[in-house]
Amino acid sequence: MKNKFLLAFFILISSFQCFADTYYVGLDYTMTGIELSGEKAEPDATAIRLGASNNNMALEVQYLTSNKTENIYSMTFDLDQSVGLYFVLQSDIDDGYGINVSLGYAMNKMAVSGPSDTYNGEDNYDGFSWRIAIHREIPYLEQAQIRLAYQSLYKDSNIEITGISLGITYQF
Amino acid sequence: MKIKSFINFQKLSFIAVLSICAVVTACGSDNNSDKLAKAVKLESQRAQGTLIESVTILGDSTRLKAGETHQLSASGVDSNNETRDITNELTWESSDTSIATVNNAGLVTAVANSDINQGIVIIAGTTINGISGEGEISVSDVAVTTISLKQITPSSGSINTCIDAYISGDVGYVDGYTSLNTIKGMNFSLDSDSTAIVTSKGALYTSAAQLETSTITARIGDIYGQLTVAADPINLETLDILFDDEVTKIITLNVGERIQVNGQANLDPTFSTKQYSIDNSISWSQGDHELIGITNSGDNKGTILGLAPGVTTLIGSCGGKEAKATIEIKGESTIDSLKINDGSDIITIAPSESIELILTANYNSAPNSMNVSEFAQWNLNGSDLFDAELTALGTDKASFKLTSSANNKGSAIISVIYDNIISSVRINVE
Repeated sequence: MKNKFLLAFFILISSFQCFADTYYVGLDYTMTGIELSGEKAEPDATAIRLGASNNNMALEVQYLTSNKTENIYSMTFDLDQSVGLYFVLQSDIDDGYGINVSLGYAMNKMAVSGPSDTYNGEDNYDGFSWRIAIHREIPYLEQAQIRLAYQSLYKDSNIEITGISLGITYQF
Repeated sequence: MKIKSFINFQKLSFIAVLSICAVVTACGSDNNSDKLAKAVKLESQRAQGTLIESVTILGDSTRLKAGETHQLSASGVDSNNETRDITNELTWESSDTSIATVNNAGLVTAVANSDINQGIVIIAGTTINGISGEGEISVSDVAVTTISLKQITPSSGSINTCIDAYISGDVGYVDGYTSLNTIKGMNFSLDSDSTAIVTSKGALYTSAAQLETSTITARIGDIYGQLTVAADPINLETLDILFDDEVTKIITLNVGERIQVNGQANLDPTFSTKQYSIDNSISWSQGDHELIGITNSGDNKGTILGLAPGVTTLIGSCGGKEAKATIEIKGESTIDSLKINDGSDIITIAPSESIELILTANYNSAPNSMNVSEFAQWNLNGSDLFDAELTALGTDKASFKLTSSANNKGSAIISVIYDNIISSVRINVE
């Protein structure tokens, strides 16, 4: 799966580079939500985003890693890392505000530890991922934006991994 | 122009590449999310003291024929010594899926009849903490030999008049198997002197003012079993009329407005302090003035429709007791005209076809029109062309449904009287 992801990433980068005219980097604080069986763990995380855009479209890579672990009862959840590749649809900027919708694929690695009769292990939760974000230009710093986003990193019939992010984006 | 076309071409190319990448990556990972979810649920129950410590399978010891289904349920006692329905918490398993399967909601499907070991399969349900319960289901199509009826609620003694009681039976088969507590395939009937009602699901509704003994007969083919049940109103203390789940003595509604009332029985407090719903047994009537339409049977029994302004009394009767409520109906009800369906004088149908006749009363003021089919007097005028019945009782879609017989053709005048106004329609069967 990782090889396929890298293949897709390089194909996209090489095809996108030919018309990308703006590059950007973002740094987010993310409160993730790991929800299953009606229970929820919310470990904090930090995310870095790198992207290239042109004409209201962008290609973006996100790397996210948790800052700490979180427990559900006696089980400890650690979202080791999440790497995602997104195609971003960007609205026009109106009065300093803009909206982004991202569709992509995320590879999430999560470790769970607990008493021996519960569950212990590290698993990959890879699949379709989406985000919606609203951003606002920072006055007197036109190349920077403050950004609030909700993202779904993974979802199946048993588990859902989501995140609410607050961060900044800087365009070069 | 050429530059713009080039950029558009590049965009389209990129979207095409993106689509290919989406296809390449559009599949999920193999993980253990089901085991993880189960582990979290187990931890949750452990923390809350709701881990199940014993399981009882309910509805087992039943015989099915291939193709039939049967719903099992399960109850469990948890660490807090509380009992709850755990039917949907169990992992269900059949000991022989070639004879019967069971889904994760406890629904058993008989796959094939079997003569081996009376066609018995074991259905097991296991909780997430590994506690199991078992029950048996038998799948065979051999003949019935005996039916032994019994009271379920109450399990013995006289039943309390007006309070719903339930009948079930143990059915013996040629191969020696006995299906317990079942009504599957039974046709119930009552002796002709009984005023009680028995339903196809084995529910017994009684309403006699004195001690009444009824003989219930259950038949499967030529085999039958009988049970004599005594319904005694001695413990019946009072009745109440409920409106919006509250005991009420006064109800106000408008002409054309439809409400639902319910009946409730209170027994001698030394016997029981519980309140019992008696919607199935209570009979509804009204005082001298015919101001309301009352639905007295069917799924909407207890529905009241305001027909004319004034004040009347709603009476609920059962077991020799009565509950009364004053009903005030507000508004106007001067009828301008009556109309059957769209007002056509002649309706033509084919043999074996049905027609639903709806009588609409048109008023000079609100409500401008009202379906009064249920509360009108319909008359076939001696015609035997049709079977007739009132349908959708207690609703705005109530109708007088005529079904013509297969071979008869002809014509009939169907007349109807409502509020002393007569209307009619000719039905041709061609």
